[in-house]
Amino acid sequence: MTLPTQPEWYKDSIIYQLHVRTFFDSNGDGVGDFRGLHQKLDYLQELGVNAIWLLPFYPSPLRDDGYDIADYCAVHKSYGTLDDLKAFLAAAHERGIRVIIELVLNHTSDQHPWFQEGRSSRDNPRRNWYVWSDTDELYRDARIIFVDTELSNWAWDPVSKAYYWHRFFSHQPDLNYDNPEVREAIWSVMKFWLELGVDGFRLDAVPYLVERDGTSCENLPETHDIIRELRHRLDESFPGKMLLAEANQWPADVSAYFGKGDEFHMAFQFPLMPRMFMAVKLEDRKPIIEILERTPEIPQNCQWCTFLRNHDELTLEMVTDVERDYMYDEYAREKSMRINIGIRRRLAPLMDNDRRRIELLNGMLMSLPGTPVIYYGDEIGMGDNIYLGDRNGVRTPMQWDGHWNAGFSSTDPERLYAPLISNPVYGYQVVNVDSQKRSEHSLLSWMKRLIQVRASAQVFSRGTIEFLDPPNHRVLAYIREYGNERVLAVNNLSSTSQAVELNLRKYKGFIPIEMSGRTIFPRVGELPYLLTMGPYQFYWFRLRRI
Amino acid sequence: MSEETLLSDDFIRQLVSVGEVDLLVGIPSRNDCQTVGTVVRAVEESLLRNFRRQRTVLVNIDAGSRDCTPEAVREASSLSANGLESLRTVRWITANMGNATRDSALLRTILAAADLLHAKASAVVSASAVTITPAWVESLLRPVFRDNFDFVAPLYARHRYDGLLTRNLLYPFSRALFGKSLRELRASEFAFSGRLASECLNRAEWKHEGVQSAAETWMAITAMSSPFSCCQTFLGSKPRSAAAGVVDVIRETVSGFCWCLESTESYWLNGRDPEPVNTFGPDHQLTSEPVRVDRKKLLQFYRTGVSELSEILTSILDPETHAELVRLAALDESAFHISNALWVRTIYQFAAAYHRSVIHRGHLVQAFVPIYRGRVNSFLTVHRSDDSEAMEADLEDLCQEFARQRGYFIERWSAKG
Repeated sequence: MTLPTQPEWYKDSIIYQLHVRTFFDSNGDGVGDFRGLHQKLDYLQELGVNAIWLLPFYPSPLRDDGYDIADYCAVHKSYGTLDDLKAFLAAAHERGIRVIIELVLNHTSDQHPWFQEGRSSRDNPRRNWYVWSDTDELYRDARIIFVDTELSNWAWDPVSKAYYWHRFFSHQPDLNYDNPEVREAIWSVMKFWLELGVDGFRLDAVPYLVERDGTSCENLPETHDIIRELRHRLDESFPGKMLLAEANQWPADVSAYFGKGDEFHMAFQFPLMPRMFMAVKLEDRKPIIEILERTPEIPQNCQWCTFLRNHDELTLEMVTDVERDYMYDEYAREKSMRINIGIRRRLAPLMDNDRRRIELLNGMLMSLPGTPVIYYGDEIGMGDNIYLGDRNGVRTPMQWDGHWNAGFSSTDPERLYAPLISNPVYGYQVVNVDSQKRSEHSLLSWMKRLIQVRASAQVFSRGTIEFLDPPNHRVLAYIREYGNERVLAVNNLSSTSQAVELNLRKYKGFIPIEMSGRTIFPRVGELPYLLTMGPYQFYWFRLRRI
Repeated sequence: MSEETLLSDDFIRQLVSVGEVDLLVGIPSRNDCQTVGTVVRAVEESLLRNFRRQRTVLVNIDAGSRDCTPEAVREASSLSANGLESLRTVRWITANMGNATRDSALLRTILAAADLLHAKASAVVSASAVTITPAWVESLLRPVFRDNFDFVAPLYARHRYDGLLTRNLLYPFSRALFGKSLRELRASEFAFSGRLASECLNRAEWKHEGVQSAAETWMAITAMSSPFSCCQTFLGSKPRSAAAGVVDVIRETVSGFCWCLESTESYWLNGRDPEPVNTFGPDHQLTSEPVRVDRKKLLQFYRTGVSELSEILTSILDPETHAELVRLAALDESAFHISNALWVRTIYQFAAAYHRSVIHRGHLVQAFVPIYRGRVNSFLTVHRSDDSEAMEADLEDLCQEFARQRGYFIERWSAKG
């Protein structure tokens, strides 16, 4: 079953990001699977999300958590079968939940048949499907992304006695997009899944598709040509489907991936994300305002995708050195919390498990422009395990209840794909869905209400934003506007109570109505509108004229 | 003046907006249009370069400037400081207190801001400090912020003939009584801790003329005479201040200093052993560019003063000292010299007389002016060929003389009638 085509549905989405492996194990082998995920769709529907983004579930040697794909058109046997996935898709659609899947365009696993064939000899028809060189001299200006593990973007292949290009791990050779056969093959992959019923793709690592000597090999014009071509084919054959870009770049470079509305529908707001964390620590709205003022306008049919955390490290690539040092000192004092150029921690530990700060950040996520993504487990305040290596510490089993294996799996705990979080603060006995469902005041219950309010007003998903500039820099305030709808969002970034005077003269006569409790506040008059706010408090006011 | 009326509603509103800070830099101004921009930019650059993670605020309190000072401040503050990155919003508070406002009220407002914003470390810099560099602000704030000192006095590179009132009176006199070698007690640049700001702000002495005429000196002496830790830090070239009349300067300085002695006598009356003072950077630097000085005129002032104020001087000085000063007035220029011993004895007698109010205090201070001019003449004559080391050696001799005669001073100060 496919959902009815709704123009620009992605703008109104609230996306839940998860890895099948982490969510629920239906067959007791210690690994989450599609049947398990299917069983938990009611939970997601109740939470209020209307889209799921699945991390890679393809056959893979799993040396990069599935981002090393060995077969684009199948399901890893640990997660079930293609039929299981189809059943899950249909069930999701029945509940009005769209499904976005991951597609790793830039590279495959070195175990992929394409690479295995291509490396076998220089004359093999698939040889030119990857980027080969007899030396490692080319593309010297390209930076290394996985700085903790890789010394070079070239790897020597002893089989074919040549170097191959890889922007990520050395076991992930880059595909050669200068080869039209590669582009055709990728389109076939996309077509396969679209015909199955998926609603869109999150395209991984798009800036790196094309290499040219003497350049950074990022964001090249040829890369945009390829994206435009894919988008054109998508719109022609599968209207209403969505492409989401993972392009961890500075604002102007990310914006370029929208093209003129003819490339990606959505792109992650990478530059904004670390600055939200910075603003809360600094207790100063400056980082958020500055980055959003630097962010160019995007085409009308496009949308930013906003997030707090995800399966990767909290990336600090797109901040200045000064900002990076500050973030490390404030959020990752222990070196083991850091990986590559980022911090491998979940939201709750980053916020020192401070419920007020967690709420504030989610409040900003849901009220700033863009389609929000919730990373699985953050809705209940799950913790992390920084000792698990790579970024696996933020990919532990979902905590459903306080019983055997957190209700994730019936297997022996030793057989789980990863150990559960079990410390007294974040352990599954304390932090789990079941116990939070029992309380109106739990984080989970609060998140549901927040999502409900967000979903009730298109002004959040489609509205413009105008920042107010109150003298108190600890308060971030803005007006969202869409048609006749107006919402005033006010966020106290400080750990102390604050008073703030807002210049709302433009809205003189309007009545602010606080949206979660529907409480009426005094009418806006001529004078600055005074609000007093507790530590980390935020307000959403609907401005009504009656 | 109560604190409540000192701070306007608008000022309070600005304080509310800024909230708690780590560092505060106060810039009092009065018709400083030509120079304040330089000062503002140097301060901002220093904060951005050296304290980029700290919560900072600049506070400009203007005494009703009739020139473009407020505009110059606004313009300078809106320019980015050499493209330096800042993590935080650089905050500003401005207030105009009207041109009848005395300098002490400007300082008190800065103290109030520091106290209300819980600033850990604050500095005051003059709006006319054209020689300021970004390093000044760091040098002032760091001993308070990082090393927990309560008061930081400045040290300057001065012309050898500058700051003579400080060299010949304030410094050696305060060193002898308070035991601390802070050289600059009458400076426009200094720093203080939140603790000291609160202490000074809450004292009742603000009403007194002694504080109002020399608030910076009073604050330094408050720090020296209380359990607050003091240090001094080298800044750079001392900005030449606008030519104030020597009479006004002496009146304000001497009156203020004497008043401070009275208010702190319980601290120094029983004698204080010298304590070392932490000094950051060189403790002195003298420059020697040629300047024109009219020693003849100074001597003439001395002679005229000693003659015309004879009756007043006899009520202030003991007969021996007075006679010696009269004898010197009769000598010709080449023989004229007020020795360190005579100078110290004279000062001590003036101070004691001030304390006992033997005559109207204003007249007493006025009578001191020609004596001071005579001393300056002697100083210029003695040091006209000296290098800075020789001048430092003589200064140390003078300090030792003040210390040697301290007992005599205490006796005269404490004498009844």
